[in-house]
Order: sequence, then C-alpha cells, then structure tokens
Amino acid sequence: MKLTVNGLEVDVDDRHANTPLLWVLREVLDMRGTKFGCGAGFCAACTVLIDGRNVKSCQTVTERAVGKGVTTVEGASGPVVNAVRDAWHRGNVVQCGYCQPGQTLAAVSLLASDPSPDDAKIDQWMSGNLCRCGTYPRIRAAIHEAAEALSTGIDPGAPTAPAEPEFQRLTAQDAADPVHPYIRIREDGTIVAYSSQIEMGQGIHTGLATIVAEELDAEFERVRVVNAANGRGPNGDVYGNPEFGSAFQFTGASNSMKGMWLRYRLAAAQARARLVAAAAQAWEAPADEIETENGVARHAPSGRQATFGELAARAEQLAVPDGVELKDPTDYKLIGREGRLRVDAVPKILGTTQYTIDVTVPGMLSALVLHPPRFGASAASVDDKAALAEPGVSAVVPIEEGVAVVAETVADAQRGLKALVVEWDDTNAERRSTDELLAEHLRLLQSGENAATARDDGNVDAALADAAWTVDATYTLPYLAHAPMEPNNAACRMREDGVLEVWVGSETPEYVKMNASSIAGIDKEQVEVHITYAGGSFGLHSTAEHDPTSEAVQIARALDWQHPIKVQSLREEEFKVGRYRAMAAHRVHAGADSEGRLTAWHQQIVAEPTSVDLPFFRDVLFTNDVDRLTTSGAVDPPYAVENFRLESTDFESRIPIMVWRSIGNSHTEFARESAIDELAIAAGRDPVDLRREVLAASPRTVHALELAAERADWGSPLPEGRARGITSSAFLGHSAQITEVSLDARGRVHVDRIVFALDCGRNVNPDLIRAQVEGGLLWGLGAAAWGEIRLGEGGDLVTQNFDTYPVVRMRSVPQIEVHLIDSAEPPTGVGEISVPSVAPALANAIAALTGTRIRELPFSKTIKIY
Amino acid sequence: MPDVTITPSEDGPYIVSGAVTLVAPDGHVIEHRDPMSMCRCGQSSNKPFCDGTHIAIDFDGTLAN
Repeated sequence: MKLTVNGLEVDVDDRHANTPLLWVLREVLDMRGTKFGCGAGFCAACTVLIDGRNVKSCQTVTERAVGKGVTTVEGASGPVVNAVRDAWHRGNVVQCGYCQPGQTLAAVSLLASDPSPDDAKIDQWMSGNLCRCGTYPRIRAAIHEAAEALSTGIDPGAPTAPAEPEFQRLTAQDAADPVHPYIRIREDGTIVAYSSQIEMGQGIHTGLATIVAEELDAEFERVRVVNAANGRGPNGDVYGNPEFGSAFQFTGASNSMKGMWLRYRLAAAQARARLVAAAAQAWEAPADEIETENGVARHAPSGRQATFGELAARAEQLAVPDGVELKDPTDYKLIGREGRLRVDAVPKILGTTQYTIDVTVPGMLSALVLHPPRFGASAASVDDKAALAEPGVSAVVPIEEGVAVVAETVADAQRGLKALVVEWDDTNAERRSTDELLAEHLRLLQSGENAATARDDGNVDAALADAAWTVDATYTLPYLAHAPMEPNNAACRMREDGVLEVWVGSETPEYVKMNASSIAGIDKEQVEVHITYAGGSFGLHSTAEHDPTSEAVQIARALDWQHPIKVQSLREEEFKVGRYRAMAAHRVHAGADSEGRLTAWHQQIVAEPTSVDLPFFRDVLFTNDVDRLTTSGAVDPPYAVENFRLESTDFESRIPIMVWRSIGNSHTEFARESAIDELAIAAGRDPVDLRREVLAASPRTVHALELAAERADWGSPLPEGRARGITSSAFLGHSAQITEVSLDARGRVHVDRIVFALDCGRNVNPDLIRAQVEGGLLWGLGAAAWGEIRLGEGGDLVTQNFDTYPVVRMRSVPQIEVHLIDSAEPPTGVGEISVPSVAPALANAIAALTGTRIRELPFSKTIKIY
Repeated sequence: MPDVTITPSEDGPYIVSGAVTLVAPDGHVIEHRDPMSMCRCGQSSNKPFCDGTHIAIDFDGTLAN
C-alpha cells in the first residue's frame, strides 16, 4: 500500500491493510505523537486529519486511508495550526498533555470549516475528544483566541521546543553536593532542574521552575525541568520526600509543592551564592558588592558582568558559602505573579513528549496482557496455538496477573490476544455483583460488627439523646476508576552489566525498584528507573506490585532477558485490573440543640481500606484496624463538635483498591457535607451560618466560606427553578464551593455554575492553581453525576471502557469561577483540592431545588444530570 | 428469519445482537461487536455506535407506544 502522510508518500506492507491506522502510524512509521486512548472510538486521543477532517485513527483501517492525505501532529502546519498551538500555549491549556495532539487537530479542523465558531458549535465539535485532566474550559477559550488571532491575519509562527535535557544517573560526588542533584547550570545559560516529582499534568515542573528561577534570580524561560530518580547515595536518597523522612521518593497526596517548597528554593539560593562567589573570585571583588538579576551577575563599581552560563563551570567547583538565606517574599518577582506559561506545554502540544507508551529501545517487543474477567480469578488452562500462529506474535507467557502475548507490534499482539483461548479458575474469584457488594456494605454498617473506633470525644450517645434536632442518614458511593487518558504502561530492559532498566510514569519510584528487583531476583539498587511523563495518573500509578512494571519484568525474565519488553494496557484490560476508589457506605447520626447549634456527630464508615497495598504508608496509616486513607475528612473534620465518634469497618473483597484523586475525602466529604446540610435544614438554619459557627476555630476556612458566599450571592433570590448548594472544606487547604443548578420541565437537573473559593497558602502560580481547581471540579462532576464501576451477576466486570464509564465531555462543562485568596502561609498542593466538595455541593443544590435528598452516588441512579 | 434482536435501552442506545452486517453509505462494511450499542440520542461522537453521551445530555428515549 502507498499512503500519503504529512505530504510524503510512504510504502506500508500489505499485511497492515486491516490494521488500524493508529498502529501503522505509531509502530510502522514511528510517528508516536498520535496516541492510543480507548481503541474503540470513544476518546479521540488518536485523532489525525484525513483530507483536513478530524478522524479517529484507531477506527480507521489503514487501507481506507489509501489515496487520501493523512496529517498527523508531526506534520500539521500552516496559519490555523500555528494560531491554535499558540493559543493553547498562552492559555495554559495543557496538563498531562496526552490528549492534546488530538484536541489541537480537532480544533484545527473546526476552525478550517468555521472561522468563528460559537460556544455551542465548539462544544458540539469537540465533545468527541476526551480529556481526563479537565482542560475543556481552556480549550474552549483557546479556540476563541485562535479564531480571533486568525481574523487579524497575524501568524504567530510555529512554536518550537528546545531538546529535552537528559537525566544522567548521579555520580556519588554529585549526590553528595547540596545543589547538583537538583539544579545544574549549563554553559549556554540553560538551567536544568531535576524534579524528584513526576510531572503527570499537575504542573509541578512549572512550579519548581518558578521557585528555582525566583531564588536564583534567573530568567524563568531558561529553566528546563526533567523527571529524576535513582537518587540513593551515601547520604540516603536525595530525591526522598523530606516530609516523609527523606527515605522515599514519591509524588502524591498533593504534597509536591508543599514538600519541595524549601528544598528547591534553598538549592537555588545556594546555586546563586556559588555564582556570586565565582564572580567575586574572578573579579577579585567583595561578594556583597555583586548583584544578580535575570541570569546575569554584575559588579557595579567595576562595571563588570557575566551571565550565569559563563560563571557556571567555576561556580560548580566552589563550596556553597555559609549562611545562604532565602529571598524576602516582598522581593518576589515570579512567585505569586500571573504570567507563567507551563514549561512542559510546547512539547506536549507538538506531540514530542515521551510518555511510557512512546518508549522504544532497539529490539524491544510489545506485550499485551489478558486479565481475568473476574477479580481474583487465575488462568487454569491456556491454548495458545491460534495466538502463536498470528503473524508477528513471538510468545505467549502466562504470568501472575494473566496471560501475556508478546509480538513485534501492538497490533500483532492485539490479534494474538483475540485468538488466545484461556479458561479461568474462579476458586479465589470475587463472584459478587456490585449490587451484592453494596448490600454487604450496608449490612455491616447496620450491624456494626468488626467496627473499630477511630475517634471518640465527649459523650455522643447522651448528646444525641438530648438533641432537639437530629439527622440519621446513610450515604453510599460506588467503585470508581481513574481512567487516565494514557492507560498504564511500563517497559524494561536487562542491560549487559546486570542493571535492569525500567521506564514507567510512576508516582513511587521506590516501589518500582522493590517490585522489579524482587521479580528479577537482583538487588534493589541494580534497578535503574527512568521516570517518563505520565498521561495522567490521579493516584493510579502509585502501585507497588501486580502492575505493568511487574508484568513487563516477568515477561522479560520468562524470555531469558533476550528482549526489552514494553507492556501496554488496553483500556478494557486496565479496567479489569481494578485499583479503584473504594466503594463506601457511611451513616451519619448528628444532632443540634434547640438553638440549632451542632452538639453531636456520630459517623460510621464501611469501606475496603486503601493503604493496605502501599508499603511504608500502611505502617503508619493503617493502625488499630483504622485506615487513615479511608477516614481522612471524617476523622479530622474542620468542624468543632464536642461530642464526636467515628467508627470504621474494613470491608473485604477481591477487588484491588488504590488511592484516587483526593483519596478518602472523595467519599467522606460527601457524607459530611451532605449531613451537615441536612441538619441545617432540619434545624431551620442557614447552611452558611451553621458552618461559620462550627468553623470558629478555623478562620481561614471561614474566610473561604464567606468569599464563596459573597461571589455567588448566597442568600439572594434566584429565578424559579434554580437553586444553590454549598460546602466547605479544610482538605489540604481551605475552600468552599457553591454549585448552582436548574431544573427543566421534565425534572432533569442542569449544572449551571460552580463558584470555588480557595486559600491554598502562597499562590505560587495563580493560573496553574486555577487550572488544577477547574480540572478537579470536572473530575468530581463526572464521577458524581455518572461514575460507577459495575460488576454484574457472578462478578463479571461490566464497565470496561468510556461508553459504560462516562466522563465529562466538553458539552457538560458548567460556568466555573475560581477565587483565590492570597496568603503568606506555605503553599499546599492543589491537584486534588477541589474534588471532594463537588458531589455534596451538587446534592445540597438538588435538595434545595427539588426537596429530594440524594444520598446514593452516582446521581444518575436517581435523577438525570446533564 | 435472521436471529437478530434490537432493544432500545432506557434513555440509551439500541442494543443490537445477532448476525448483522453493518454497511456504511460508501459501501464499506463496518466491523462491530456482538452485541453492539448503536447511537439513539444522535449526539454520539462515535456514530453509528454509542459513546455514552446519552447520559450526559437532555435525551428523552421514551418509546412512543
């Protein structure tokens, strides 16, 4: 076959005639900017242009592209493309970036057909392209920006990305240096920051670049950030998280900016002090007469100056001077200011960012794993004859997690997988449906058997008996998947020197080393981890075992380490391995006195614990049968209640659980914020007044509550058929949310507007904070409205792709307003902060609107949300 | 008589099961699963198949009789 791709004619073997164009582009033509997301046409991560029109290359068999012009992200060019990419860059649209080659091509196709689309047209056109980070509001704005720019006729030109700096394994000498593991300055003036925190969309690379440039007095635009790992040296792990004893490198729990705020500023201040010392030495001038600004050191009395790049080699040889101090915040030029553009945006827009799916090394084979259709089942027998007969398939390898098919390309492996015949042994399988599992949660909630007391203050029973007003309500929440746009992948290679290299977008590199070394039978330090960019994670990539890393290493070992192996997850297979947000059932029995003051709170939780699969964390977070990752938000509410009891029951099933964006708070705040609203209504109190009263000891939370109330005009009348709901939270920072909804003639609820007020400490990059809050709100909205994993009769997994696991698309995005409170307190993380309050704010709004209190998620089980 | 069943699901897609050949306007045969979910709300971005969008829009799939 002859194809025309990006204007060039290319020959493709006829055996690929029926292969999806996606895989031919990626694996035959080695153009990896086009991404795999679902394999079924639901997500459009694989968007390319065919004769100018956006199509899904996973649904286009290659022979159907013959005679047509295929344009991929690598070849797209021209004024419309430039305008779109420039608007994307300047609008800080990109987060994880995995869907953005597809999004931008869809936008190009839209603007080529309609130069000034309105919101409705944009929503309709773009709703095929999923984004789990929730960048939709910015995509919509960027399309308008691009349309406006095109109408002026000014071409911004094609954006270019400098080459990605390589991360070299640290020498012992470098590891012992206070600066070198974190910052190196090159002769050309490039400042390379080595990030212990994986960039998975949350923007930490840009955050670190900002604080490094600030303390270094460098130009922000000269800072390049790369993912780093393998920091273990004579002084422990230089990339270990200081808030967790510095022993363990990990990204998560919204800890990156909070945990690295001091380390990277100090390293930059020390690097600056060295540059000053180098200049002082070179110019024989006193160090205190040397000033630095925008990457240049100056000595005014002598008129001498040099760039940081010119001073770097000399500076690196010097000891860090004693007494290096951090900048006075009143001198900040970058921190807290608007205007920073994401450092990772351009490569992501151009499709050149390396995700795990894009890793290639010579001789690498691709593997797909067929997992059992029921959790806990295992392969009883495998008939691999037909699979091995498929062209390109080289091996079928039974592994702990299922059966792997190894092949030259993913498309070959996919055909092999379809031909595989496996009988499953259900001896240890979870055979209950989700309806049965929920019933069992409720039974345990009712019986209280095995309940452990997490906290017990005052006398709850007496206070409830004395209460003038009470609420006794049960709330339930389903299992939820992360479903990031890049399914979870890993690659590995055993080098001749006995070092096992692993490429993976992991939040927990230490787990990767433990996992890979134990399977390979080598020392942990013989594993070298390459942290790739992750096409979203949201907690999913925090695994310690039975994940793509363990699958890849088992397969490579079974093939005698002869081949580098890349395990790619198909969307259905990723759903089949679980690692969901736990199902949860809560009962809240709360009371208020005759004046409506909150006097008693008794909460019970039944959920499968989250921390059991997280080595180290479980040792401190799962004690006395109480899992802190389950009870977070319930055991430590922002509200002061004299009589308080929390009990928690650990549910048991075969369904693997994993931390999921906002962890326990994703369910505990639904119960807490719904119940307090119910109590306010029962006692005839205004929900804001009641909260303000019990938040008296938390003035920052009160401030957020009052700001949200003010901006959303809380208390002012709304037109008929509209209502508001409010929540407040001290999760990570201090926030409050007001959601406005309306009811249509058929009793269906439309989410019109979300107002979110936030104090997250110092606002390092306000626009990136807003972007994370927006994304978190949309994440929470999709989950609350429609999200649930369903197991059918006998435990068969029903939910396997985006058609049965609906997530927010462009057309469902409400008006979102984020109001940031400036603060001199240290910054907290913002990636998860807005998620927990979405569901209860919506429940409270629906109750205000309809009088119906919905206590079961998703809402779609009870009422239609659109 | 071919053994094909078409079920309009509640406010959702047509579920089509049985041996069906799906042909595009230009004559090419579209591969599909069995059963398959076919868009009924008109808003799928993956026509002729369902992409789950019906749940998120103002779609009324009530049957006429």
